[in-house]
Amino acid sequence: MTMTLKIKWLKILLAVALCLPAVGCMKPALTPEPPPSPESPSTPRVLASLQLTEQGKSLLNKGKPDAAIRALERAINLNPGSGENFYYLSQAWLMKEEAKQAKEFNNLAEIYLNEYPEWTVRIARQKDRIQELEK
Amino acid sequence: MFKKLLKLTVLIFILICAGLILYSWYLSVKVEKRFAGRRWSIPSTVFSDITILYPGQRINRSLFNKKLNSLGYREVSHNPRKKGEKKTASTKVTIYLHDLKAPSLTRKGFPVKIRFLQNKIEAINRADTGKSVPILELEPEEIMQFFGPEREKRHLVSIHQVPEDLIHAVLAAEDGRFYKHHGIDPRGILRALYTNLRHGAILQGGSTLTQQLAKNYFLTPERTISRKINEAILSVIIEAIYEKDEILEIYLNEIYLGQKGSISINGVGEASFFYFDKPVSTLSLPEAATIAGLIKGPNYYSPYVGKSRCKERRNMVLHAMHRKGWINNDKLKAALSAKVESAGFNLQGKKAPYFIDYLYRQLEKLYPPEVLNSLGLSIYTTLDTQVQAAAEKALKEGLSRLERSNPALRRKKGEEKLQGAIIVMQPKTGYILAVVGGRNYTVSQFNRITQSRRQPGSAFKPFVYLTALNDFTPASRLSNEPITYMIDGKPWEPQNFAPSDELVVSMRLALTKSFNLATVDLARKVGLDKIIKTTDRFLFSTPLKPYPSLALGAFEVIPLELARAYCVFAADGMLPYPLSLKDVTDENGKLLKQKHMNIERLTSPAKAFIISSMLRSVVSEGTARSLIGRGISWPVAGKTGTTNNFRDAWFVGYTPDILALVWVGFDNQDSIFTTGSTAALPIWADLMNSVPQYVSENWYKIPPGVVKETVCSESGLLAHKGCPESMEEIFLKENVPTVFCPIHNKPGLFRKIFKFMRKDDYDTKN
Repeated sequence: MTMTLKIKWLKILLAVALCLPAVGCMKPALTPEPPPSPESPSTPRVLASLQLTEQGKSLLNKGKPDAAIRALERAINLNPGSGENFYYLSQAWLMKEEAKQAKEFNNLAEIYLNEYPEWTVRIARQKDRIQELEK
Repeated sequence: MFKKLLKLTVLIFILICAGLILYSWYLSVKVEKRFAGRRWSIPSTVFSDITILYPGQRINRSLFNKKLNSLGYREVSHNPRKKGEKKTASTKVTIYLHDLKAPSLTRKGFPVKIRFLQNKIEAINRADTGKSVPILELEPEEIMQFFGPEREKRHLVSIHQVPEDLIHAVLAAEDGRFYKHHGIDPRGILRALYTNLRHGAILQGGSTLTQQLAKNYFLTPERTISRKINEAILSVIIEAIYEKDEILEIYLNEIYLGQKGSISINGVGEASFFYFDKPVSTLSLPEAATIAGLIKGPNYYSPYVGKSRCKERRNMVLHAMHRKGWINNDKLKAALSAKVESAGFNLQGKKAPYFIDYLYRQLEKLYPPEVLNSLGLSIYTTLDTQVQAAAEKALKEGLSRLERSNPALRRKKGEEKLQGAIIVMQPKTGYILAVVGGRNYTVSQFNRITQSRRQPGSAFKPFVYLTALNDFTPASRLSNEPITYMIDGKPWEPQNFAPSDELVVSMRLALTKSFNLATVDLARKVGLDKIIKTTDRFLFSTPLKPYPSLALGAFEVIPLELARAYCVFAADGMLPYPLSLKDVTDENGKLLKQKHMNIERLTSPAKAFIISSMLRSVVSEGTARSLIGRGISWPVAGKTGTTNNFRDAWFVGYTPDILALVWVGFDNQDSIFTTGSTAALPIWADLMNSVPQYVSENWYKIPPGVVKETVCSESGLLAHKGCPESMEEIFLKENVPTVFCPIHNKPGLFRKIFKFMRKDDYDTKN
């Protein structure tokens, strides 16, 4: 291989190497999907609670906030430390246009999920919606 | 003369006819009014909460088996084939689940296998497909019904739901010419007369179904000529106004078909469940004939009384159906050879009576008694019957144990006996899982959880310490020296329960050991008005006065209020609404009322965490440390309480998952001669050991605003190398000590500057 060709390949390799971090830094496309659950389902209780959280989420998507609240209350009884359940409870109360309860649950979600930036963003957005409702 | 007589006869005849017409018209109005309105009173039913099961769950096998029995699952020797059957082995149970119908949750029944490994559910799988079931909801349990004075239980069905076999069976048994006569059947009367004369005994009645309906609905059961005449007229009127199918439908829903204790089973819909645990539409031919055969004498021909007599009667009905051409030879033969198999039933005493009373007081604000007794509402609650059973047992055994250990506690009269009370809640949601308002509901219906006012004693101290957290820390020093206070000109000298050499103690130690002197010192420094302001926010209903004895709980509280207040510490500073009633639906399942968890922030999560941490010390090193020896090895926060002269003994203990309050005492304020840790705490331990499904062994995550720092054990200030003994303590971020311990050799300048410049919170592991 000639020197020129070697240099050419080196330049290509360098370019690829430089691009890799940039690719890694690219923001993922925004999707409506919620961030991953912060709960690591390491215990049976948490796993069972997650089932109920999913039930609650599904009911919210179907526009059934009262049924969702029921499922999420059961989820909380199984796993009282789940910020996700409080977040969705807040969402359910927002759907029912009850700002006071929505606010209390959103605040609880904030306490439990303060280490998860993606959730922090969602909680902040929910806070804005609650404030809108309060006006 | 003859003409006059004739005229008189005609006049009398006309008058009788006119009277008859008027009377018939009067009866027809009565019939229409009765049948136009609500035809029956359907009692309202109270249900427990659903029960959640999942793989890996800890379980009390004994309570779980009782739960299945209470839900009506009956043991069979074969693999369950029908809903309501179960087969229990040592390491598994196979259940054919009932349908689940609850507000917001419905599920068809299916067969499921639950495998156990010691006291845990190892796996849950569908018995038909083998598919794993990650979470299983068991239907709500019927707790009680609100009956009217007639105490009739009835499940209404429409004629279209009733299978043809059952209609034919009833007609064959009671009125084979139902669709041919017009209320009275002269041929039937003559036939019955002939049969009875021939046998010299009353074997047949000549009454039609319509006549039976008229008798049951409108008339009293005495056998008089006037009643018979009324019955005949009413029957004709009913037949004139209503269609045959309508009359039959009313009859099938009205007829008395058995007895369950003091409650009568009315209508084929209810009878179908009572005898065969299935809806009427799924009755087989033999089952239908059995029910039809009961009409003549439900308690004589009942399969629960005598299966051979029941079978004989059933077979007579089947033969009658065959004679009418309603079943062929093959069906007859098959049905005749079928065994009489009934579902069985349990006569249970009143369940959770104190809880029901508490619930009823809420219901009567929403619905008057006549509505509850008649409109067939379904009332869904937060009650967990396994926790309720565990609480009742723990209280009963705990009180008996105390009486055995101390004869001075024994009383002959039931109403004077040593008493106790328990409430169990889920602190985050406010769900009330169990209420035991006293030792024996039959003796005393007074609910000591919701109605009594007792002094909490030291169980009130956490609220003093909470108030103090604005200016004090768990490391703050308090005086534990005896001091005489002048209250309204009179001296008051509080004492510690046990003498202590420690004249200066930390706030944490003061609460851990429940030192009265240090607590009063703290209360004085904080200000009694501030403490009262705190308790006002906790919604204690007793107005408090600013006396120092307030700090020692020398005022009265309702135990429910105290339990609810402790939930604030257990639930990140949120005060929950104590929820017992969740949903109310009408007889068609339409939702009428729904209540959800309702929370209100009372204090910060940081303060709640600090109080819980200190109350955890009460359990690990303080007055509640005997819990460890009673099998409570997981993190628990709690506080004992004992009042003056040992009149009240309390223990309130909680985890993130569950909170329970136990009180022991005499209604007449006699002394129980012992403390909260001896009287109430063991009962709490027994209860918690019986409900492993509520034990997660989790503790609270350190919330933002809480900082951990190493302080000198002696001064409570920042520790340095010169301090012989140091300890880690938690503080509110705004109250972190910034001053080094002055008692021991001071640190160098560099260390001072380093500490001063540190501003961030940092989390540490528990």
